[in-house]
Amino acid sequence: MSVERPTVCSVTEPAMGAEVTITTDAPTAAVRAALTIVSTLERRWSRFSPSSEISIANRSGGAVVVHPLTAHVIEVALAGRAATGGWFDPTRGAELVAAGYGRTFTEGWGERGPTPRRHRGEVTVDADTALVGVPAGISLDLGGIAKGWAADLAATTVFESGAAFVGVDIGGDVRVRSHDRAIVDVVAPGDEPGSPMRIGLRDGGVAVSGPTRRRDADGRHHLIDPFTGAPSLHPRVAVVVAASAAGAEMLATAAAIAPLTTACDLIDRAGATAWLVEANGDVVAVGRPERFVLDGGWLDEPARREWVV
Amino acid sequence: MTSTTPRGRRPARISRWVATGLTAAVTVGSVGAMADAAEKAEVDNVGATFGAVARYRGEVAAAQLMAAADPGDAPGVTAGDAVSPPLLPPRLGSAGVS
Repeated sequence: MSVERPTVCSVTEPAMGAEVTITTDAPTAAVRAALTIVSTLERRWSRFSPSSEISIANRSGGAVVVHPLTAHVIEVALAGRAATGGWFDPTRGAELVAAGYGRTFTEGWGERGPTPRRHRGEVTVDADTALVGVPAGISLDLGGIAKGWAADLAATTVFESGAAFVGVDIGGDVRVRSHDRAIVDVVAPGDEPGSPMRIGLRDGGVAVSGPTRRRDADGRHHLIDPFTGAPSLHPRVAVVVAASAAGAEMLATAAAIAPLTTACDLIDRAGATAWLVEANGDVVAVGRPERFVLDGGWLDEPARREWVV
Repeated sequence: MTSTTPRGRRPARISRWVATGLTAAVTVGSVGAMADAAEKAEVDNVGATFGAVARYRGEVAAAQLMAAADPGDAPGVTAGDAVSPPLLPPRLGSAGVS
C-alpha cells in the first residue's frame, strides 16, 4: 500500500501572541511535530506567562536552572547584543513593561510607568549547566528572537522529515527551507494593500521590525532604545534577509532603532541583506538586494513606502 | 569477625586508584582538549567571515544566524536566475512588521 503525500499542506494556528502558518509538502505528522515545538517554546519563553522559564528567571533575582535550549537561546541573544553593538538587547524587559508593554499586544497596552533606572549587574549563562542568572531589577525579554528561533526550529524539523519545501511564518517572521527557491512576500511598512515586495530565497529567514504595528493610539510603540531605556524617538522599518529567522529578527530589531550608519554597518558586517525604510519613504538597501528581490512591489513606489506611527 | 587489610596491599590499591584516576583525568582532558580545539577552529572560522573576533559558542551561533541567506548559492546568482516554476513551490510566507 502506498501513501501519497499531499502536494501542499498549509496549517495556521494561534501561537506566540500571533499566528503560525506552516506551508509545506511534508506529511501532516511533521507539521504537527513542528507546531508542538512552537507551542513548547512559547510555554518556556513567553514573558507573559508567569510559569514560563523566562518569567521564573526574571522573578528569581538570582540563578535558576532552565532547559538547555532556553540557556542556549539566552546565550545567543546576549551574543547578538554584542554583535549589534547593544542595539538588540534581550535584557530590556523591565523597560518594555514601563513602556506599557507588560501584556500581550492583543490584550492592549497596559499602564505606562517611569523608565526604570538601569540596575548594575549582568545576565549570566552557563551553557554547560543551563544555569541562568538574572540580577534583581533586570528582566529578560526574548521578543526579538523567540519567534524567529521557533520558526527556524519548526522549519528544520519539517524539512529534515524529507520535505521538498517548507515555510514557517510566525507573526510575520518567516523561515524558508526549500530545495528550489521559494517566494516570501513582504507587506508594505504601513500594512497598505497593494502588491507586496516579493523575495525569492531557498534557505534563510525574513524579518521586519518597525513601530507601525505594535503601537497604541498615542503612537507608543515597543522598540526600546537600549541606551535610554525608553521607546526609540526615531525608529524606522527594517526588512532583513539573513541565514535564519532568528538572526534576521535580531538584526531587524537593532536596525530599526540604531543610527542609520550604524544600522548599515551592522547589517553589512553580518553579511545579511536589508532595506531600511524611513517614515518619509526614504529607503537604503544594504547587502545584496539584487540576489533576493523578484518584484519590488511597494519598494518601487515611493508613496507606498511612507508610513506613520 | 573483623577483617584487616594486609599491610603490604594498601599502597598497591592506592596506586591503582591513582592510576585509574589519572587515566580518567587524561581521557577527560583529551576529550576536552579535542572539543576545545574543534570549538576554537569553528570560532576562528566564523570570526574571520564575520569580520570580528568571536570568543565563545554563543557568538559563533549568533554570527551564523545573522549571516547571508542561501549560503550555498554562487555569488553571481540573482533572484531571478533560479526561481522555481510558479506552481511549485508556492509562496511560503508573508513577512510583515512585528
